[in-house]
Parts: sequence; structure tokens; C-alpha cells
Amino acid sequence: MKLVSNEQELVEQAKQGNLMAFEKLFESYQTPVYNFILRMLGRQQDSEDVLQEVFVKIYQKLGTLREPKYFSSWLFRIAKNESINFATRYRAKDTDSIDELEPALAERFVTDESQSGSNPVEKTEQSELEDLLQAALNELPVNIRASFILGVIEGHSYKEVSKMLGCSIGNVKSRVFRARSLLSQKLQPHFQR
Amino acid sequence: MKCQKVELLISAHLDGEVTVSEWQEVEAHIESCGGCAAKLHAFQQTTDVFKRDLPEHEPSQHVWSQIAKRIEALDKPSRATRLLDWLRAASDRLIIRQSAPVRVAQAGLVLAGIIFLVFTRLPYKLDAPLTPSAVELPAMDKPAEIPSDPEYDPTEEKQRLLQASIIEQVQNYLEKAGVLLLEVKNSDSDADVDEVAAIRSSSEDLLEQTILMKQNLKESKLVVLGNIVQQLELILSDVANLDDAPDSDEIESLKATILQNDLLIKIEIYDVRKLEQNRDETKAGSAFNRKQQLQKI
Repeated sequence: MKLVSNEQELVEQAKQGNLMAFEKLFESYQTPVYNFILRMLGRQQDSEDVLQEVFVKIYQKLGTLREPKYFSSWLFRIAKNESINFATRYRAKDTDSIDELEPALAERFVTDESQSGSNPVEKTEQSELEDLLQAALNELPVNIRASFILGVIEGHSYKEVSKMLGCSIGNVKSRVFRARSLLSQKLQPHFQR
Repeated sequence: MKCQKVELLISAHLDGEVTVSEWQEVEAHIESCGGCAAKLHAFQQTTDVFKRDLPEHEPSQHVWSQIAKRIEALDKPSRATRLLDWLRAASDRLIIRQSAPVRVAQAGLVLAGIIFLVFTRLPYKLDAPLTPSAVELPAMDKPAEIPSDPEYDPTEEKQRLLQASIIEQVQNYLEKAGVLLLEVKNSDSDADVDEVAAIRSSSEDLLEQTILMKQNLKESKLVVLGNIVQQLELILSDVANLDDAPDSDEIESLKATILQNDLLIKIEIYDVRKLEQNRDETKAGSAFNRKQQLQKI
């Protein structure tokens, strides 16, 4: 994600305590960060709580960011860590891993107003498909999941993803490959229907 | 070009991360390899469905207002901070106006006051040293022996035997994984092709077993082991996908990941049989004790 020059200025202003500048940054990033957290956790309600935590933390630590151009990768790294922290605190009894959280199949996503015009039968199928895909994502180990979400679903380059997750490009490549292998195995029966 | 490398490149190609020459080699391979052609199709299908059918959601409108409130609360000094600031300012005003002897006398009075408060209001007596008996420790459950009560549930016994069998399988798996991780940890940054091929092959074998291992552990609720296996899977995947001649950064990154997760320590120090056996015996013993207590009521 290339940082445009006015975004660098916003980061600088926000570092000085300018809340309006920080709000503009929030508006730019809220949707991609929210969707990243949502796909990591698989739970819509909790994702908003984590989104709040992320931006409050960003605000508190903005003074430690050396270069405005690193804002985006830093933001996503904090989002990933907060998602894992949340899931660790929330974990179900007798589990010890984010990957054993209750799958999203039990939960329906609330679709937004723009989709309310579609007919009810299609809407249900769409929700079911989303639930299926989310459940498949939930089964991926956390770092593999994060790499797939950022590299494939959100469309960041491997280089950007490596900065966001603090790993090498080779790691990102192998994790995305692994994610595809596991997901295609998991979803193959559904594709064959 | 080997199929595994081709598959990795197919995946990277779908994200626009291969060079033209690499893709030409892949295409040439696919022409004569049905397996890789099928993989391309499967990967493409999977990618398309996630990009097309996983909708983007918007967070609700009130998120910013919640964040703004919390930021405001952070920026406002707390009541305690404001009180301290006031006391400091008041103290500064008093000290500045007064002469040195007066200030020394004041400091002496404050110190005397503190000493008085400490000795009259302490919750314990200084002349009564703590003895072991003064501190009550909670009663510990003794590790339970397997009860011979005829009412003891046989399905629990079955579960324990199943767990024991799974633990043994996992122990063999972990031993092999430990050997592999040590090889990686001790390898040079410029490892030769044969060495890389050997560790890659071992890693692939272990990866094949991982899926079933995870499933068994999940069903048996062996959580600690499950966690270790999941962490291992990530490393094994990275090792299995090393290039024939990986660059030094990749090797160093793998080593760092192994150290970061303390995997070698976990495999060696976690004596898995003892860990799970103790947990099960304690559980069985506690269940039996509770049953006996209920019978007494």
C-alpha cells in the first residue's frame, strides 16, 4: 500500500497530537483493518472491539514511529497482534490456541444495508458461503491465515506482507502456498457440487 | 523442475509474484504434468472464491466516537495526577518563602510523622517472625491411584488408553521433528543442495503426518501437544518449501523462528507422557474423590 504524500503529512500531524489528522487516518484505514481483524477472528462483534483497541494503541504509540512511510505496515502488525491477544483472552475452555476458537459457522454475519435489496434466498446462500469460507480460514494456523488474508484477500504484495508480519518474503510465499493447499483441500467437495 | 517447486510457483503466480522466465518454465512443466495442471485449476478456483465471495464489511458508525472518547480520557490527567500536581505547587510555594532552618525543621516533622504512622498502624508485629505454621498452604490433591471401585466408569479407562496410544505416536513424531529442527539450526547459511534436499524431504514426510496428528490430538483433547504440533507445522511448511539453493536470509529466518518459539526446548523438556499422564491421573483421582464426597452427603 503506497503512502501518498498527504498521508505522510497526516501521520506527522497526528504525531503532534492533532486529533483531526488522526481521525482522517482512521477513516482511510478502518475498512481494510476491520476486515483483516474480522477474517482473523471470524466474529463480527469482537472485531469492532479489537479495531478500537488497535487505534487507541496506535494513538498512544504514534510518537515511537520513526518514519511516516512505515505507518501502514506498523498498523497491520499491531492489528495482527491485537487479534491474537484478543483470541488468547477469549479462548474457549480446554483450548490453547487461536486456531481452536468456535468456527463462524455458528454465527451469521449481518450484511450491510447496501445488500438488503437482493432477494432473501440469494442472501441466505451468500451468507452460507461466507460462513463456509470463514470456517475454512479459521482452521488455518494463525501466521498462515494472516499471510493469506493480507496477500490474497486484501491483495498486498509479498514484500508489503513481509513488513506487516515481520518475516521474510520467502516465508510469506511458503505460507500463502500452504494456505492455498489447505483451503483447496477443504473446499474441493463444495466446488464439486 | 520438481512438482513441489512448480506448485509453489503456481501459488505465487496467482499473486503476481513470479518472473516471466519462471512462469515459462512452469507452463512447460504443466503441459506434461496432469497433477500440476489440476493444482493450478484448484488454486485458481480457491483464490477466485475468496476474492469474489468473501464480502467486505464496514465497521459501524459509532467506532470512531468510542475511540475519540478513550483518547480524550488518556489525554486528561487523572484525579490522582491533578492532586499530586496541586500538592507539589503548594509545597513549592511554602518552601520558597521560608528560610533554610525552617525548611529543615519542617522536613524533620514530616519524617517523624511518617515513622509514627508506620509503627502504630502496621498490620503485623515486627517481633513475631513468620514461621512456616503462620502461613497456611492450601491442601494439595494427592496424585490419585487408579481406583478399584466397581462403579468406576470404564469409558474413561478406554479414553486413557486411546490417549496413551496417541501420545506414543506423537512422541515418535516429535523425536523426528526434533532431529530435523536441530539439523536446520546447525546448518550453515550457505547449505549445499544435497543438505537442503534432505531436510526438505524429511520435512515433507512429517508434514504429511501432521494433519492426522492434529486431528487425533484435537479429538483426544491433548491441548499442550496440539499446540506444539501446530507451531511445528509452520516451520515444517517453511522448510519443505525451501529453494534448492536458499539464500542465507531464509535459513537465518528459519533458525530465528525455531529459537523464538522455543520449539527444541519444548520437545526436549516437555516429557510428554509424564505431562499428560499426570494430568489424567489427577483428573481421574479428583473425579473419584468428588464422587466419594458426594456419596457421603
